[in-house]
Amino acid sequence: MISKTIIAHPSEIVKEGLAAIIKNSFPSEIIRFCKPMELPEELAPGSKTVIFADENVISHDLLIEIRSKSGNAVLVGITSPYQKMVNCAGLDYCISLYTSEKEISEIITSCRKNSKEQQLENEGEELSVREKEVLKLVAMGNSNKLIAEKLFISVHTVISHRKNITEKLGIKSISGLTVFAIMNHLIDTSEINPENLI
Amino acid sequence: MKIFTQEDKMANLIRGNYHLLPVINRFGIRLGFKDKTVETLCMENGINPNFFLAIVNTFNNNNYFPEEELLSFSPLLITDYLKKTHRYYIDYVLPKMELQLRNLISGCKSQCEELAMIDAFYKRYKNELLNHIKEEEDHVFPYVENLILQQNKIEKGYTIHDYEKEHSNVEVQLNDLKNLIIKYLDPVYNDDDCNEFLSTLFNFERDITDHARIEDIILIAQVNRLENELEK
Repeated sequence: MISKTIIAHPSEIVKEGLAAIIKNSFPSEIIRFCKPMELPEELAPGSKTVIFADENVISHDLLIEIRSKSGNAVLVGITSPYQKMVNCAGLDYCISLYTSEKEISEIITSCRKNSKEQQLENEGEELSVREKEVLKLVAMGNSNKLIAEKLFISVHTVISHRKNITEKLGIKSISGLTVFAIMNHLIDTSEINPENLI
Repeated sequence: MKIFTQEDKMANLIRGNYHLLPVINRFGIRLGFKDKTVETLCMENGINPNFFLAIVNTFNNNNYFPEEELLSFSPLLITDYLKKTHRYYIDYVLPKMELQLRNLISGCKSQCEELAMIDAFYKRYKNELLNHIKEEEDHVFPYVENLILQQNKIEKGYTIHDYEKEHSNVEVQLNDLKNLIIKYLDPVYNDDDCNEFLSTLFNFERDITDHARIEDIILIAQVNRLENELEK
């Protein structure tokens, strides 16, 4: 999964300036420009995308769309100098036009570090009873919607469980999870031929 | 980390990182080149030295990705390099992995059901990878080549957008395969056989991650640019 940084801001000066600053500290960072409305399209679920956006254009609806598309996205609002009130609600960080290069690169470092370090930290924790239930249903090929119905929880909760399962096990694909479930006897293989599941 | 230049001796590139061996082969460079420099060997083999170095340095160093420079090369150079890489995977790496996996399985004396799962998982991964490569060679690369060479023969309605989404799943499965073997598989096998298989997996993963990076970031961007220009 390619992690990238997206800049959504109407000003050419801000866009190019921010991109240049980021490239200074992270020469291999992939930087994309896009319009605010296009943000949800640019997000790949699972990869950690850092988004720098003009704070004014992140409406409540857009925020929800972004968060549901990728729970991993980190949103940095760029406040305009003419605003009296800084409204950072719902965003992960807020910067202004006067934020230093050092601070900007610290934000990116902490975003990138968190995903790798956190992954390694969370790995190894035992799956909870609930997570095992979800894992079993995932391995049997059920959709998130179906799993939610069977367990009487919301789809959002199912997705959350799946994310935790992946982090704990280090396994992401459905067939990989299926193999794991079979190896750990979470699925009764007396009735089904396991190779068909994979 | 070192960035190689035209003045460097090819022998030093290899001695610095032997994983570059298949990479230089893709350009037609073979061993036995004595003390020749990158510059000389490229000239002798009709290779664009800047392109060669961009590919080699990108492969050698994860943090090195001169996006602008890579975008400036002709997409035809890129597709040619990618096609040669595909050949390497299909003709050499995949058969090798299968052979090693077969050894692993035949060395198992009892309770080999889990290994059978791994085998099934590998087969699924291989199919998806082969389909993905076929899709690229049957549609994506010809599309790119048409955009440049014969601007009127373009498949109507097809855009590069359709292809972009497929990439990640194949990489994820390779990583899962590694983790399943390292962390969860009961060691009912010969250790050396398993280590050999894993070693091939690790090397392959490194190569294909680099490969995907070039496809995702460079090729797609170049095509988007060409598509936009054509629309005007």
